[in-house]
Amino acid sequence: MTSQVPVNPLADFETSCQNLVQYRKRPLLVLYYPSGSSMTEMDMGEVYQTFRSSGVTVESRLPGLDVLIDSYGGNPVAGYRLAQLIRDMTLDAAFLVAERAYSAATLLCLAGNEIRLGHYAGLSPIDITLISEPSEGKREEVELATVDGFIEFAKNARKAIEDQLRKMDSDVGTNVDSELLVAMVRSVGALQVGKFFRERNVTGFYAKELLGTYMFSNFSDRIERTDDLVQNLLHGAPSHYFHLDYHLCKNWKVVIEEMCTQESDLAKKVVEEIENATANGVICQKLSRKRRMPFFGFYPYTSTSTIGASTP
Amino acid sequence: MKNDTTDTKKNTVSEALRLHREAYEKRLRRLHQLEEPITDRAADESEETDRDGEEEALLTNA
Repeated sequence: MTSQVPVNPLADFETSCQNLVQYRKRPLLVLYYPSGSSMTEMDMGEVYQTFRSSGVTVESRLPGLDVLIDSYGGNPVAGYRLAQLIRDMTLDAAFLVAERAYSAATLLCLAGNEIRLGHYAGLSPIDITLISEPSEGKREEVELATVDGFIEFAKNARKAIEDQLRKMDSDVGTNVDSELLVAMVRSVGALQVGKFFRERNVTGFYAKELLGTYMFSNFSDRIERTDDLVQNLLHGAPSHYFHLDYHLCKNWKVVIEEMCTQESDLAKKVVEEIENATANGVICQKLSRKRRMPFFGFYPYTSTSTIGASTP
Repeated sequence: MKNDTTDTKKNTVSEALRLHREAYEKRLRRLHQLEEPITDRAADESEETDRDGEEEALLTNA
């Protein structure tokens, strides 16, 4: 009777990670958030444990690390805290975005010495979206960009009406802007509007800290670069749902590189395989009707790696 | 400084999967705890619970 060798359910994913590690010649941290999973502060302990189980500590920082991030976003506080945790563990960090790193994940990437984008991959604004997701009932979602847009609309409405009244030689004024704003605050809720603006300040503060400390630390004009980029990430896009591709990021002076075809293929393969593992129920199981687990994994670089070490 | 190519050798995918499964169980237990009626012990943890509650309500998501 022959003994059956247990099959590694993550073998294909492991091979894709090792191929990327061998190509980049750097260790790899994978942060994967499937649809239905978002960045939260609960991730901190798990990512920390991922480092520790690999022998990486703040006293024995890695000389360099690639962080492959795939996420639609989450809590900006979690994004900032994860960024600082990663930087505590490595002297140099490159964030690899094979498909998307939106919102809080974009904030996280600002802690990189560079961001490397796969083909047609992208980032997003770091503005606030308020999501109300009761266990029973309908999910509601409001973007701060929508509130900003409405304020602008109210101003323009007043200007247009006043211009028209002047043309008609009328002395009558209009308070259409205040009426519109009152209606908007009633609809969204006064406390919610206040929360929006408070949270945006927090996100902007975190972004400045990460950019000044890491991405722009060696630039002589880092203060101007930081201010400009934060302004663009908070206010420069017409919507929170806005894909920032390589060209837009470059225009905004993000330290960003577009991967060559080989690197892009390898990075996308990692995401494809981890999506397969998720679809097959191997990882990222559901925590509730709406929420899934994220996946974190660390893959070291060894020059004589025996695990899937082929270079494609 | 430790060399990353030697000190991280023991990490394998099975280790990542083990950690992932542990974390999943931990999160599930935590979710169930949040659904239990408040006891003295739960009250001690109320600060953390409140923070998690806020996370559910306020998220930035693209």
